[in-house]
Amino acid sequence: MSAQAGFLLNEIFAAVFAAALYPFRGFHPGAGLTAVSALSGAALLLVFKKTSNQGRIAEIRDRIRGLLLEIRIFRHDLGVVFRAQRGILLQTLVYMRYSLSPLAFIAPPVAVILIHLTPYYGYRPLMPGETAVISMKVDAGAALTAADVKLTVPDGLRVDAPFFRASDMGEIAWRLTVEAPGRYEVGISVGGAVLAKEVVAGAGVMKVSPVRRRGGFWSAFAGGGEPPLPPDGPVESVRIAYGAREDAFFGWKMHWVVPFFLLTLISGFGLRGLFRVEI
Amino acid sequence: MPTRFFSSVIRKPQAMKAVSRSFLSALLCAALLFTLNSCRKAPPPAAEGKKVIVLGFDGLDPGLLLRFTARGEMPAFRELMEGSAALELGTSLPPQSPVAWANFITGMNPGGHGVFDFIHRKPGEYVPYLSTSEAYPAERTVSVGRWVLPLSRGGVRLLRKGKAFWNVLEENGVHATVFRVPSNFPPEESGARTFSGMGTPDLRGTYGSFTYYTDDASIDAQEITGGEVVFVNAAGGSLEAAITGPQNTFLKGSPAAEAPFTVYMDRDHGTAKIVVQDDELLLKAGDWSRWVRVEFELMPFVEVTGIVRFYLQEMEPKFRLYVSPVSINPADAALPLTTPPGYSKELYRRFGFFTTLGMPEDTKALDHGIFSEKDYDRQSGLYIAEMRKILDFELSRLKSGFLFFYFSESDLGQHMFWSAMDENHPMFERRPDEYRDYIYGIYRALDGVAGRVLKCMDDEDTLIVMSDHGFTPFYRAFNLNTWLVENGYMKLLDESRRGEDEFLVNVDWSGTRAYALGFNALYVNTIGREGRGIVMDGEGKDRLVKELRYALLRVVDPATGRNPVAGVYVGKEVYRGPYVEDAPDLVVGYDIGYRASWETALGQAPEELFYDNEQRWSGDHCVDPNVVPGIVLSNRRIAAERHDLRDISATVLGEFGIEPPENVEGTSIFRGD
Repeated sequence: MSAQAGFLLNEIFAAVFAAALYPFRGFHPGAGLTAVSALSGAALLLVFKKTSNQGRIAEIRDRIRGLLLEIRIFRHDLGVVFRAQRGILLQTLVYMRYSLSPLAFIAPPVAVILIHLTPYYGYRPLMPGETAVISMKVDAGAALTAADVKLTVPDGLRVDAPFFRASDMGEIAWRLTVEAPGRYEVGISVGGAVLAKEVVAGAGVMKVSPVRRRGGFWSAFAGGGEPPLPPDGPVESVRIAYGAREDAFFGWKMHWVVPFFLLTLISGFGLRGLFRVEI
Repeated sequence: MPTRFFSSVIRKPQAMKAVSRSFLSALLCAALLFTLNSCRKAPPPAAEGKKVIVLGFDGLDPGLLLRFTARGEMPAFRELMEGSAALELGTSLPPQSPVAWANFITGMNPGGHGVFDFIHRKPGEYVPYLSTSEAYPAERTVSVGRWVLPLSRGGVRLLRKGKAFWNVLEENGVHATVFRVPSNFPPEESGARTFSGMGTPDLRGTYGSFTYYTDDASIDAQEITGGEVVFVNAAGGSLEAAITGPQNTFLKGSPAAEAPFTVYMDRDHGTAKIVVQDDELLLKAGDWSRWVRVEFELMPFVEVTGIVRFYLQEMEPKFRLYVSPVSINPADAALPLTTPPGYSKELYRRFGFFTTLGMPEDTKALDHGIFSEKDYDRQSGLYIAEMRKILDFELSRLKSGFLFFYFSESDLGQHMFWSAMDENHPMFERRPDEYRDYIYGIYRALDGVAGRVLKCMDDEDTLIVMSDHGFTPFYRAFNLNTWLVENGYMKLLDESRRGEDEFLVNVDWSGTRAYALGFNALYVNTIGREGRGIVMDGEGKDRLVKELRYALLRVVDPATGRNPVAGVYVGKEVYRGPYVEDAPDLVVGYDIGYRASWETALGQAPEELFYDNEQRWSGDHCVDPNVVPGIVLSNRRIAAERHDLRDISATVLGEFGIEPPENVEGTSIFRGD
């Protein structure tokens, strides 16, 4: 499949996530993250229900419960206790077997969720007054000079340092300073062709794409939502060093994936009665 | 056993109980919070809708202020001087910032708050320590391989005693914000919004240690204090180095934690890219970076973060990269900076990173020639810009209550640039001409701050502009310990090592009757107090104190024919309060142009008794208090009597109709209106 197909799929999913997060745009990032995690928990629970042997799982859980009660009631009879413990171990292994197979169906949607939440919660937009490095990686053979490449920026951004080139790394970089919040597009002309790269500045939750790169289907599918770079051009990637978002969950210092998984689990467990799902 | 039999057993009743318990707990908490909130004392009638703002301009000198306002500029200072009909504010004894600001905070003399000098000593071991705060390690640890795991908490404690007046305000229902007041690290527990100031260390635990990466072999790294010089090989296209962080007490031997970084150089375009952990910077020669967050891993899953600025001074012909002291990260403070603890994070969210170091301008870098005057000025400008933003924010949200805001640049700027404006200073000719008016520029900038605040004041509001002390030139340094040796009061173990060993290591205590440590303090080697005391407490000691006082007041500098000492004060006579026992036996007040040498402060006794001060640190205030009064100005008329720092807390409380606590020694400066 082509990079364009990957990008198209990425766009479709991105639209879904943008719509889901739209009502929370004026709130703390934690509000949207909580809501999306809760929805994800519900959706993954339903996937689990549809792809697992619910009857068998219920049966195994009942057996484990029974064995636990056996231990409690016959705790003075070591023989029964040991047998029950062995039984619990065996039933747990069987339970894991029945639980693992639905994971094959759960993993892809989880991957899609992670791909599409990262641009919102993995990075924070630049702030007015902040500087950031925009760097371009070119093919090893491309001996570009300052005359061959040019960065143009719209109002609201400023280039305030000379060109930087590290030939041995195939890297060219500039320093941008944000003057006003906004969603901008900077242009990099390379040997006549012009490439665009999005730059996002502002407060709150905004979709941020740190890298626009050249690549195939998977690269475009898992990207930050910018079209893939031309496959025949000398540029491998254009990247902006955004800072990591550290306060995605109400100011608690942790990677956003941690509260996401916790809330997803809580949501899943909380809703299992309502959806009649055996976990 | 028929296990299916039990399948219907679901512990719903217990689950319900748990839910009920949680719900009840939440309800109780909410009720308690509501009750506590309702119990918060209502402000006194005099405080209704009233604002009192105190601007603390460290070291602003009344003499210079008069001289500068006479030029016809500085409209805010002129308006305040005319309105308040006052100028001078008595400082502390000795006039050192930690002591002076502790007087201001508590309304007491040093005998009441226990801060007598920048440096105190443990008399039993003659060991010096910083007077305002103390770090203490975990008392119990366990070693596992190369790791040392703490079993109890270590931390840092405030040594300044006495109750801060903003806590009295809070107890009376007046909300207070106190930004960067010195002598308050770690911040005293408080319901007020407070941010610690001078005395707040960097992550290495010092008052600010820079790192300088260079390939200039002509620099004598051994001579540099207040920072570290790291020699690098910058000949290639890139170099790797590391920022030194805190001591890692989780490892045996407590080696310093490090944060590596890489510098990629593009010599064709004069730019460098610096990659620090997940962050990237692009600098050209002469550029300062923004703040960069650096993480120091202490052990798996345990790290502390700090913030630094990079300054690429030069790439060619020599590589010179300055990295600022590692400030405590306001977004994730490793040490307590504020009350409530979330205040620093609140400011970070609004303004991004900002310095938290108590003394952010790098005077040591300028003194040792790492910085030029221009570099220092640029660093100071970056810091001032941060503080102005925060001041504007605090002003915008102050509807009523108390705000204190502190500026350090007047103090450090006068320390570093006095010789640029003073023709009599030994360094005058060596300072660049364009900095002759640097101190004037500081005063003008602070006039702008005062003017900005004046605009926010309503008729019933009170603005007080004050400084903790003034300034005087520092032409000549006096080695007090050398004088003690020459006059038979101190004996050295090894005469050949004079001036080499710090912290009184070379002192023969069996023959020493008195010793100096700190900038103004002189101690008698007393039996029963000092570890190896030889002077009996009582009459013998009193006689020695009198003798020392008499002799010091008659010292003559052979180069000038002047007496360097303007006053000598007996500790137990001038101080009162519960901590008088910790006071120096004598406090030496130097005259204009003189100060105790740096060697004296560190307990050394070099060969020469006096020497010319040939450092850029050329103005000072660690002299006699009568030489360096501070300033006090207001938008209200101040009573025509002599006021001192202890009066400010009583004044602020009085403005809100609150009686000062009994131990506050000051009275309102408006009394007699």
